Amino acid sequence: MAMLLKTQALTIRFGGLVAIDNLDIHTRRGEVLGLIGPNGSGKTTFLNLITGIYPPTKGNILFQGENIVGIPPFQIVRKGIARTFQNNRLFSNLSVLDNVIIGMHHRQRSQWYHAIFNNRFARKELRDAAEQAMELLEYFSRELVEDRYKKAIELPQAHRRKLEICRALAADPQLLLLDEPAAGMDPEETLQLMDDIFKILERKPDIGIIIIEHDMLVIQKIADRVVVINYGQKIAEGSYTDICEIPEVLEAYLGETEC
Amino acid sequence: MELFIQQIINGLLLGCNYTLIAIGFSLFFGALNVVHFSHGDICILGSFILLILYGISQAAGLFNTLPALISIPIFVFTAVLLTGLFGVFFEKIVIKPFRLSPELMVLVATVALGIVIRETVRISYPQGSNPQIFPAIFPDGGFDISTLFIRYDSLIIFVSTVALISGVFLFVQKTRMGSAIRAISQDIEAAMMMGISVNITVSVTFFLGSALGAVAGILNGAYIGIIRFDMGLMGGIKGFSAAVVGGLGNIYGAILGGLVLGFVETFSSAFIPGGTAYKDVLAFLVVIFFLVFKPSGILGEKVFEKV
Amino acid sequence: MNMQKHHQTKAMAILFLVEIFILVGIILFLKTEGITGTILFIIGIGGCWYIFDRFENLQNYLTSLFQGERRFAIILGLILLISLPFFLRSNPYLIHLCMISGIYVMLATGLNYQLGSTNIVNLATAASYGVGAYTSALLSVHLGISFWLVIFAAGAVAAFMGFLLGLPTTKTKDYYLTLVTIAFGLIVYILLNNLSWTGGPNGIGDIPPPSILGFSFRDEIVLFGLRLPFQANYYYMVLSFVLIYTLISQRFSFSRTGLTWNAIREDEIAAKCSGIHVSRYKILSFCINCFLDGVTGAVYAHYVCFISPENFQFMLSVMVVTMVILGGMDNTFGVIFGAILLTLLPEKFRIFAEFRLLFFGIIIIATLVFRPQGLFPQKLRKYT
Repeated sequence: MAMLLKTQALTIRFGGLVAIDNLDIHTRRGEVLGLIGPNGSGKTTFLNLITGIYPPTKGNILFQGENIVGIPPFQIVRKGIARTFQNNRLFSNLSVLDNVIIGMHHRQRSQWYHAIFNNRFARKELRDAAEQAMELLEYFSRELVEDRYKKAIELPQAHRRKLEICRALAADPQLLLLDEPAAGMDPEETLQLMDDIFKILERKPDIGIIIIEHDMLVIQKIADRVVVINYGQKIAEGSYTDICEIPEVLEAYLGETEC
Repeated sequence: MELFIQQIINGLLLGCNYTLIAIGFSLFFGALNVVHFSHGDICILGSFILLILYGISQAAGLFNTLPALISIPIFVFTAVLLTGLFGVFFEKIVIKPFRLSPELMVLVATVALGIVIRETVRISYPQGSNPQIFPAIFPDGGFDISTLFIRYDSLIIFVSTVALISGVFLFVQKTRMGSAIRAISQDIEAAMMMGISVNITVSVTFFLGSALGAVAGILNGAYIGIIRFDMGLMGGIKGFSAAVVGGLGNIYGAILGGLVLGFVETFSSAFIPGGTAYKDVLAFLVVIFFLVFKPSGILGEKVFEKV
Repeated sequence: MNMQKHHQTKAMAILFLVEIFILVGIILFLKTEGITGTILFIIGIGGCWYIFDRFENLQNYLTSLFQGERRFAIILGLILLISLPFFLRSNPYLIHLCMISGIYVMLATGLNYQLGSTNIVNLATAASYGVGAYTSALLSVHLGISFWLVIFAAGAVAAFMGFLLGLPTTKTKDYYLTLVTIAFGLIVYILLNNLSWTGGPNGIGDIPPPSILGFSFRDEIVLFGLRLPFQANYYYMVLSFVLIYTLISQRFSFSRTGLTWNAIREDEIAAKCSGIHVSRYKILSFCINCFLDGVTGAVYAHYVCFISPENFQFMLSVMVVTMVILGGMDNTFGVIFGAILLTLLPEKFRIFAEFRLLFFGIIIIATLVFRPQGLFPQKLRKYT
């Protein structure tokens, strides 16, 4: 099966600090790749590299065979990669529905001159987008549908996470990047989250997912494969049970009792 | 050749003026990530306060009893002190309320504050719209070095600027309060957890920046001999531009930027025909060039926003 | 069926009363002389605003009435606005005031795309306004081109200026951008004052008034048997422009463009990662704002028939920013309200003219501290 994403010798330096060091990571369609490591090991930086927010110092990022290094973030979305953020970057003062509609931006066509001169087209496209957004929300969460006209900032934390995932899915990505989606969730919300991820896979079986997580329960349940990084380097790779046996992994996670 | 050297001196002096203003901008930005658009008007406020003090003492006849060598420094010191306090006051009412709000608010609020200060000065000072004669606080005349004539006031301005900048540098690097300022510019929360009082540190920063600005306003007024209520707008923009060109948040940057801007302006005014009218335009174009191609300035460090 | 008719009539009656109330209010406010009268009016307006703002049910009720009988409300509103000069025909100055309010409404709705929708603080409105005014004046006076063509040229030149102004946005942060716009405004002012072909400090005079089929806008007009002063011509022209600008504003609001601008406002990085080409949309906001300002400038130039750099100073940019902030960011109705209020109030408080700019500064600070969303906050988009 062809690679969906493949990084080659990916490196980034911030001044004297090497945040990502010669990283070779790959993932396939339909696979859920777990990315774990202690805080500050470079996991979010890795996502930022893939989504084009930081340019790498060295190395390649091949997405569906094409090197996407140097492509600006908004174009990378068009290529088919979407993400969520560790610190929840929603459009706070816009409604839930608007947040999801914006996720569809790159799939829409109307321009400023349509807004002025062909208003019918502009409005119709927006209304259609609203319908699609509703459908997406309905698939994932009754509550979000009920709250669709609430401002994003008024939602409880777990719903905000869910909304961010919906916004990312609205872009119809081939690769979905989730940055610590379970952070701050209680056990019930975490179960809900895992359910949602399975729903994503059900709805679109060949989507690739890379999930950064600290909650090992989530990784254990949903990741097909796990990559462990520390100090920007890959220190282990394999199934969850495999990597648990590796001493370096346990050392890196000193203090972690579960594995 | 003489003309050339004279222009270098002029550029240097103008650079000193911009540097003193730019340091304020850099301090405020460094400490709070805030661009204080009304800083220029606070500088002019300083020179007006001196004017008022002078006027009061003249009227009260105090002026004649003390020798100039004592009275002038007292006036200057008082004006600078008062301006520093005003700076702190303004921070509390116009910047502090927006510490957690979107950047837009502080931006617009400080622009508005500048307008309020400017207009208040214009309205409350008699004949405020007109240029005011600034008291001659520098001795007249000068001395010769070979073929060059150096005025006393130029010397005083240069020496005071260097002294003040060194003082600021030592303060920020060597004193406890200085390291507190550096701490909050790196990470406010961490600084708080180390027991640093953010409010006090910020107040000190604003006091320092505003006081330096007052010195800039006073030196400028004394050199040109005239001040106007609206010099603050231009001065503020130029000072901010200088800080940006050098690298916002960086004291060395403020110095470098001040000098660059001072020289560009002086030389374009002197050596480009018809340049005087357009010297401001040229200075701004330099700034815009930097903003587009090197927004972090000559010396500034690129800050990665945490995503 | 009867029930529906009854509801409809009731709705129309209420809308009729509300609109008449507003019209009468405006006429009386314009005609009021003296400080006490004006202050009473301000209290009255403030009271109405407070009631409207506090009771969300009232807001929803009125909005639903408006939506339900939209055609009626709009036609009635138009009729009332057209009738306004008739009530003021004894005092041409008041018609002039209405017209100038209209000009500021045009400027404010233009700025709203940047300040309100995208949170770009553009303090160079005076520059784009002035560039439009001067372009139109130069073309009219030196080349004799008709006003109706010149407005497009004015808009285009101003839009190009906006494009140049917007280019740095691709690389710079908010505060740098604001600095650039302030500097730009000053540069334009300096250039206008010094270049020979702009007339320097003396400006450009003898700008020909617009004309339609031989009828010059400087002539008195006779409508429905009544004689109106020439200001009425300009009032109707500005009214048409205001309607167009308002329509454009509403259309942008409910479109992918307006939504994208809001996204950029809320979180630029999230916007980028949602596929939005942020710099393109920011430059777009500059071009559109400046185009509209340019057209407005042309209208103004051909009204006053004499322009000089003094008309296009920093103070004007500040005033328009205040109107948008006070009225309500990204709320077309709020911005219109803010523009009209902040044009008429200084006129009424003419003896305090000295303090005008000071008050604008204080209003900005007070609004940001106590009511940052403005008098009329942005309404959420509804898709049902």
